[in-house]
Amino acid sequence: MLTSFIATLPPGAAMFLAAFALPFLPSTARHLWMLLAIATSALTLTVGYGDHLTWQVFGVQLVLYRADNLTFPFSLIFHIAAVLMVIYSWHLKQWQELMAQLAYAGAAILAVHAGDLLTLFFWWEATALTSVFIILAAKTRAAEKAAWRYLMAQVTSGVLLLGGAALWVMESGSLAFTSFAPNGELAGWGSVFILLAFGVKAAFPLLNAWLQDAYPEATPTGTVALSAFTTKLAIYALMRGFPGVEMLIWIGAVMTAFPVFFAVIENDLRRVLSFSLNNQLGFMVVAVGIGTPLAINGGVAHAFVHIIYKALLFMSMGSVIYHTGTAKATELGGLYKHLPFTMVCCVIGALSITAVPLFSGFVAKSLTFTALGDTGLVLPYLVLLFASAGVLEHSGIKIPYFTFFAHPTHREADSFGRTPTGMLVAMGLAAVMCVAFGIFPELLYQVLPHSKLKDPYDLGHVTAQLQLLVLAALAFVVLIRTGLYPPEIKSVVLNSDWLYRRAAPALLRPVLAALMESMALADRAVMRLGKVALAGSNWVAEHPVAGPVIPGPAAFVQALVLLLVMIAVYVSLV
Amino acid sequence: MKNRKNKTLLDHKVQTLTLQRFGRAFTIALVIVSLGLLVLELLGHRYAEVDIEGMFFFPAIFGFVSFVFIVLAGKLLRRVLMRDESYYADEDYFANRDHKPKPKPKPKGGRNVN
Repeated sequence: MLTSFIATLPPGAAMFLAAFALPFLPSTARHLWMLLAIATSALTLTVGYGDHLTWQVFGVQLVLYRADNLTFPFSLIFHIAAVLMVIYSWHLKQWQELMAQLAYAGAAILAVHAGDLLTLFFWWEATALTSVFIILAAKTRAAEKAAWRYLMAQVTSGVLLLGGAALWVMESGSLAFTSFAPNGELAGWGSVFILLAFGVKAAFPLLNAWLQDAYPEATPTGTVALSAFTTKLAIYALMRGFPGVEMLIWIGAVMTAFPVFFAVIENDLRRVLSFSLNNQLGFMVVAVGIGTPLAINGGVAHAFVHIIYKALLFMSMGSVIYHTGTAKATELGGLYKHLPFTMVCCVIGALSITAVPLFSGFVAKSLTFTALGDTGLVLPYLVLLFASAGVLEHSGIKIPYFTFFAHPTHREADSFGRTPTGMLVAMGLAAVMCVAFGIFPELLYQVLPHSKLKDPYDLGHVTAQLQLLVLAALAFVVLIRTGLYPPEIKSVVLNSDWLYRRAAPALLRPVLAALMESMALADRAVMRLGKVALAGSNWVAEHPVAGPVIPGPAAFVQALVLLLVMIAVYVSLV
Repeated sequence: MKNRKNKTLLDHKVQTLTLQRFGRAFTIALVIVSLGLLVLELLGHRYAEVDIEGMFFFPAIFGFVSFVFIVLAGKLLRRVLMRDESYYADEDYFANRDHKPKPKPKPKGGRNVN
């Protein structure tokens, strides 16, 4: 009975509802409760494909639980990410952050299973509202400010989605969450607004600043949760709504390339990882733009493995912050001695994201590269190749090098306490998955939506990839040994958030000041006019033309009464 | 105290040597693998997705040049995009305008326990 009831719930619902019980549970039971909720949610995935839960509201059919070959891989990896997130934060006692994490993961899974735009909007906004508490949980002034900017971006995305959905319903007459670009062309303003809504969450160029602004400000555990869901939900939404829209190939190509330049000069290594996240999203957006079954497989595979290796990299940085209190490259280095396990996990994450053969990134990226090669578009292909060298620079080398090597550390071994077991287990599990998916790609391939695949391990392909990576790594060695590689500097790197944090206030403040000044001038002029009028009326009252002298105010009252009587008579006559 | 200082210096030296050894081993490994890849290239064991990729040793040259370009372009970009860590700090001016610290309440009467 209970099992059949649970099976009718959409995946994620059990997690979202269970989150609200966390404040009432003892701290020792919270993580077990969270794992139980995730397991219950995962159980609902077993009912198979189809529309399993629909509601009729005011004559509109809402599809709360749709399952198909595209929802399955995203839902599955979101459950895996949620498990990693819970294990990693096992030492955490504060219910506020845990509650936000579980509700956020649940909302993201529910959004994946939404079959109509209204349900999608509801859970789209729920991910925004729940995740903002994860950033606020850091309890710093910087996190608080970043959280409000983050919320502003997320709510903007929600408003665009709602507006786009309304227009789409008017244009097409359907509320269903299907493709908004039949034949690869945007169909009307509704689809444009929906694409923009997805673009904000997917961190399209110039819409990306919230990501690099907010993620590094969260707690070490919070950043791991944030890195998994929001942006990949957007990638899923793009795959569902805009497959084969060629514009996305170019947008994605720009996304892969431009964060590389920011990441290379950024000092905060969690911010470097956030730029790297943006770059990885670019590969997935390119896959959506190509839109062939092979490309969609590539995009899904990339999202799947990316969630794991990016979480692993953020987890290893979290471990470093746990011990040292910082993730700034200028304050780190030489930690290989004190944090060997974290170092090994970080290097495995770095090798995976760099797409070294036998690691998970290689298996996924090779699908996208082959699909892009099939289109015959050379420039985007070269941009992606360039971006791959960029990934090696910032995530493959910069992160592990400046954290664990670079120079000897002055930190005493005694200052390093024990890493919480949960952190170690979560990092270990993620590292094992990175290697397992790399060595046994069929493990990954069996969850992909289409049967169109290719074997990544042919000699010619492996050789090409190794040539790119090994020679790029050799370039790093040459630059370091010749002293041309620049040292890290304590700094802030300007991003597109500069437009609303600096440019807009600088431009609007004088306009606002001028407006307020002119209002004050008008106010003073009206006051002066009033005073003159009053003085004039007083003078008239005190200087009657003829007849008996009566007090000024009394004369005014008489005149007013007379005027009112005349108006009343006139109105009654008319 | 002196022993502790000596131990730290020794530890620092050991770390330096270890890192140098890592660096040397990494470099040698890269050079050996690069030579192996060159041999495979000469034997024609490489796949190209687009025509230009079929040029001799293309991915290797492209990877090397791209990496150098990224780092050197980054050096130039520092002048344009890099600011002091406190660049956004004065955003607090408006945020804190209404949050002036309250004056400490004067102690009410009573006996001074000190």
